[in-house]
Amino acid sequence: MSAFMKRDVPLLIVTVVGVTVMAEYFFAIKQLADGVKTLTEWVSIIFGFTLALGAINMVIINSRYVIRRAKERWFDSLLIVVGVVAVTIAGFIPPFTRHWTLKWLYDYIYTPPAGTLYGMLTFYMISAAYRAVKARNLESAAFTLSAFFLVMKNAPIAVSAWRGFTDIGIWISDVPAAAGWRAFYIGAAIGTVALTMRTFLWRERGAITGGE
Amino acid sequence: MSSQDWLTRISKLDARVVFTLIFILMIIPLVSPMGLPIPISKEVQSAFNFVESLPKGSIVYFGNEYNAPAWMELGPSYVAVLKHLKTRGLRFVFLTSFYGEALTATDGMIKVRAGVSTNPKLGVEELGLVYGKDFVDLGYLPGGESALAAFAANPKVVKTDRYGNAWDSIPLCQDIKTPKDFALCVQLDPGAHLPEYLRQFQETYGLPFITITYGVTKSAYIPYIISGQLKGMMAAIDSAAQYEQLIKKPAEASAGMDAVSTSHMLAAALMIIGNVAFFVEKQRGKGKH
Amino acid sequence: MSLPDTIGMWIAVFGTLACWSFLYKDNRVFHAVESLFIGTAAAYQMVYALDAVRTIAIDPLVLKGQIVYVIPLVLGFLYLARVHPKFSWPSRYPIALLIGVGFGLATRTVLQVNLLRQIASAVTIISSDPMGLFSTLVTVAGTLGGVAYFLFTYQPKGGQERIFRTVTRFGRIILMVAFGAMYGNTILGRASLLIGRLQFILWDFLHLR
Repeated sequence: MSAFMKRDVPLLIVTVVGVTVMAEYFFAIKQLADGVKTLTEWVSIIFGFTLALGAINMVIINSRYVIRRAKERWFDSLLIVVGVVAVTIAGFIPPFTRHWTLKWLYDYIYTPPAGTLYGMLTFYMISAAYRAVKARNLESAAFTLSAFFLVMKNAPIAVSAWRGFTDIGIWISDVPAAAGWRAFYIGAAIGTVALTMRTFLWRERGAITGGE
Repeated sequence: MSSQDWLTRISKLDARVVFTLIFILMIIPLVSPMGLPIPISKEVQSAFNFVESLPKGSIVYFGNEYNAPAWMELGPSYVAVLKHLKTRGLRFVFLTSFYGEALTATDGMIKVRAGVSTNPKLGVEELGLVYGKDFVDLGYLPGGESALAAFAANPKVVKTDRYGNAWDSIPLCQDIKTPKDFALCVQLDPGAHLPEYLRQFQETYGLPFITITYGVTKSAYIPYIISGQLKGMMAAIDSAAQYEQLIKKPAEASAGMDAVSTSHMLAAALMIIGNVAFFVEKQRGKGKH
Repeated sequence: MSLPDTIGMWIAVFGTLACWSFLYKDNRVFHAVESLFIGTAAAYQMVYALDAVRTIAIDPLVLKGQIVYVIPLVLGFLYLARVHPKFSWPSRYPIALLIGVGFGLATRTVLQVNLLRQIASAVTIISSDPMGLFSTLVTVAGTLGGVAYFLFTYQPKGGQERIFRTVTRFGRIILMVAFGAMYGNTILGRASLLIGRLQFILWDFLHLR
């Protein structure tokens, strides 16, 4: 297939669709609004397939490891495939996504490891408190002090002992920390506009053409 | 052994000893609570006040984004807010745009605990809410920000509720033509999607927002509170405990706050020990030279 | 409690303890539970998404004859061409649509939400007492310093270089304060999750309360 069909047409779609969606916000034209309504609905439908691709790919790749009896990983791969297949079957038993097996798998197979794995970060973050959170220079001192007062503000026992922890913690959150986050948001907003312009002008093509 | 050697030993402590300490210090208050008072923060108070100010019968939109690890960060706040809406006589709509699993995740954990039936047929006499009239679950519309924009432009894009009932057959849906028909959006936020919601619902339609978010993003969202884009914020277990106190229905979050105190005091103590040991080592190194 | 729920409870406790076993040492049981979790997570995303596609597109097409939904369904299937790298180029069409709509939606209001409103709140005087004025000064200076820190393409020379370095160093300190606050709140957040699991084990399973 020619480069026109493989590269230029997709890039043209990005620009035309993107500019149309942006223009719809600023111009009250009914045809434009109806067009964007249709486009956003289509995106919802296509999005469903993008989420399906993740599971499909996972089954294909891990099935290869199981078939080849790849050393040290075939059992883990088998469990991944079993997990995907079990949930898929449970999800497509009528009434779709409301069968009790899907909920059972969610409550007892999926949720416990999910919650536990995320909760394990507590251990690593608290152990980081004495290993890594040290005032080596001005910047890390700022980090350490800010972290310390926020930790104390979040502990009811500390706040009961001295009200000042709340006042200092709130001041840190509302003034310097908020200023820092504001700088992020401002930078991100400008960066979003810049990236959008670069993409619409075909100067940024990696997501579409894969580096061609 | 000198105090300096002790400090050095503690600062080089095996992490597994610290992990064991964390377990012990969190298990004890969960089994034998201390019952410490829970101060109310201004973000949670203003969220509560805003819900209190809504007229009876107002429709509240729930951005029902929830995933498996979110229990205890988002869950208890979600339950508390739902209970509050029920007592205030407000109507509510659930729609998920980012995490399809929220449909199943919230069924037992959230909705039943809040006394909001997951079975459309059950709501009538038992729980005082009528499905389709007082609340409706619109299910999952995939697409993230595009889904929000699609719903904002045309709420009927959803076509049916989660149980297959057509949009036109649901009484509550007849009162929804645009996002302006909602008095409030309560956005659950397990993945930092608040900016997408603000862009699609607030900038165009002026919808007031309350967010229920992770502790990680709590400080990141303070600028949105200061700028007035958020009417209130709840993040992690302490906000949930505060909201439970405000609605006078203490539950799991309130019961877990003592464990928060002990774990945080350990973190603070380790920070102090680590820094003192660091400075002592530094002085010792300088002294040798 | 029903038999499936009882069995499920024991499986859930086993899964929780298996994950915690990693805190002591890496082991096979942890990796097995982790793998099962990864597989189920991917499938959950897919199942709900495809069911939504069924209600939004397939049912109107098949049951009500709304032919227009053929287009997004075809585009969706084209996306699945990504499975095979050699034949993946047709997936560029739905990706282009996703990117075009996504960028368009994000960019048209991002300046209002994240730029204008944030600048307005940054320069608003908090209160006229000394602490309020000091806080306003820190807010303005901190926001400017933080933004200046991200100006990587601006390299002044001579006298301006020293001023710029001071401003960016101040900005870096402000950003570190923000990260420290984030660290403190993250401990709270993750502790919340751990408390949830402990409540499950201690209260729901062992009935210690």
